[in-house]
Amino acid sequence: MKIKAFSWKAFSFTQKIFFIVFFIFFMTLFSSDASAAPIYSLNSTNSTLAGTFVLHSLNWTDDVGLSGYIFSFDNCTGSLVNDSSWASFSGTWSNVTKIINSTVGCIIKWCVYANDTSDDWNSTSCNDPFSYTTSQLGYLEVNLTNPDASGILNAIQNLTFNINATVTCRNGTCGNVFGTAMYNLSSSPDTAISITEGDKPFYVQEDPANVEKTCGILNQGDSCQLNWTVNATGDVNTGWKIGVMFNSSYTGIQSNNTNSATISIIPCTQDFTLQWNSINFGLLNPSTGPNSAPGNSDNQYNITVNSGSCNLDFYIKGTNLVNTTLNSQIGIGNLTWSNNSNNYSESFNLSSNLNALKMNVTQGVCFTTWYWINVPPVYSGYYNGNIYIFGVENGKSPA
Amino acid sequence: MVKVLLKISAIFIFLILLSSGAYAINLGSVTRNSFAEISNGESTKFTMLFWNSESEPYDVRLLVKDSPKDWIVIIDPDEFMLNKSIGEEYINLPYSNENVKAKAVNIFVKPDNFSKPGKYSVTVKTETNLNQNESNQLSIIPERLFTFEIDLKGLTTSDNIVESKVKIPTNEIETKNDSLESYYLKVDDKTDKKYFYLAIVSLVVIVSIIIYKKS
Repeated sequence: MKIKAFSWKAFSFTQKIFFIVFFIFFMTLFSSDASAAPIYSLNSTNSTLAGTFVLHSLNWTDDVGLSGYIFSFDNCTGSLVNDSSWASFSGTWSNVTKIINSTVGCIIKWCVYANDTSDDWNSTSCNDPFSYTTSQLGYLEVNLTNPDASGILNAIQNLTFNINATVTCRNGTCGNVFGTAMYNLSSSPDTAISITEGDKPFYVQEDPANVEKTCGILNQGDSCQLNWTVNATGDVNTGWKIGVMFNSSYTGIQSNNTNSATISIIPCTQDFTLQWNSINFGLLNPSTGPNSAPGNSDNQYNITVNSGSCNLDFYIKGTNLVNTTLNSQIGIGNLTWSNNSNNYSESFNLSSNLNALKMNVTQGVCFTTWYWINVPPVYSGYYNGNIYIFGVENGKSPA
Repeated sequence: MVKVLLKISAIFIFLILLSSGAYAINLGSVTRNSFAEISNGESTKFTMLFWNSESEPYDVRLLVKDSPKDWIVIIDPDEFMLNKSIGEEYINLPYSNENVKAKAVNIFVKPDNFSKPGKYSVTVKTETNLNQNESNQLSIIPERLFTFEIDLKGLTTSDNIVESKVKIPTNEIETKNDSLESYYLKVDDKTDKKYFYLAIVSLVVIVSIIIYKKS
């Protein structure tokens, strides 16, 4: 078999164009950067306090594999100086700690050169270096936002209330700031609230429960709010002082306590809500009935025993409907009520004396009532009256 | 007969119209203490809190429904408006996102000095006025009764005021105690002055007798 020698001339013009395009395509494909340079993000420093160790961090990613980096640092000198040694990555972070200039108010700059296993380098951070200004030690400005320190907060026994406090770093850097919810019997709060369930007089009712919470690093002007959900387990009718103590990881920053608020632990309450305030029977004819109250069909006449309330007994009574101009009345006995259904046959006559409406209603329960009126033959006019609903602690007399 | 006919011939009646639209009414309360043990000549104080977590304000009036004869019962304040932003104290309600203001009411009870030892009770009634200006409606009104029990012991040597066992240090309560105390101090002053005058008169009589005998 004879193999012909390759001759460019042997190809047609169209074939030549095709080969050229094909060649350019593959050249472009293979000559393109198969390994892009590392990419950085999440630049951070853990402090700006003059004269202290500061950690400078960048997070890196790469499509091939990270290799190493060179840290470049301007310690208020005006020029970036590369570290003498190249450091290999252990993980994805370039973490370099430097003692920064002890002069307050000077500008520190820094950047990182990083390469990957294909020896592709990223030096873009050094085109526009990161910078910060050295600062002095700040102080903690603290405030108890809830409960209001100016008044007494009554907390229902065995229910939770919230403690909220804010801290702001002023006049410098404050490092890691922590807050601890505190209490005391009478003077300034000096005891950390327990995190053990059931402890008296308070415990932190959270999952997980922490009495000391962190704000992280606060630099000048940074604020942080911490919240605790606390169960008031103490004895009824005892009063306590509560507050929050903030401190810093910097020993040079003094801890600071918020103003203290007074907590009074109270027993279960008598607390119910009538979901309506009046009944409008509308235009009625005399000698008719029973006429259903307009809200009956929609179950509008609801009574709710609110959370935190003791079990309540409800009683009802009313007054005659009166038209003072005509000196005419509709006896209260013409009104009937039901606590069972929107069914007149199950209703009871309203009276000027208290009658049991619903007994031993527990907190969180809402029950419906329904009303009807039988209109006797009376003068035409407007009539008004009152229905009184008593809610008393279960077992106690309403009168 | 004519009146009866008139009544029967009335075709329409307009009954309890013009309600101002339904809104919810909340009346919350708690008694910090409802029992006190005191000796004759002493007084005691009960404290209650009232709140309204709904948006519509209303007036509350407290009055003594029942108390032993000749006992002094002072309710302070006995009339006030109640809404979620009125009150000297706060209450943390599980169903409310924010602490609701609570109005503190003190009830001072001073038994009659001649009351026999035993168990007595004072009943306070709470009336609400929903400020519903419309005159033609069937108003729904929450009401409440509070009963405070007092175990009156025998006589004591001094007329001390017995504080209720609430450990809450509030300036206001202390101020009110001061005013009550000053009230009883005045009573004590009058009593002391009587003794003083009696002593002076007795002294004058004795001196007169001595002078008379010597003369």
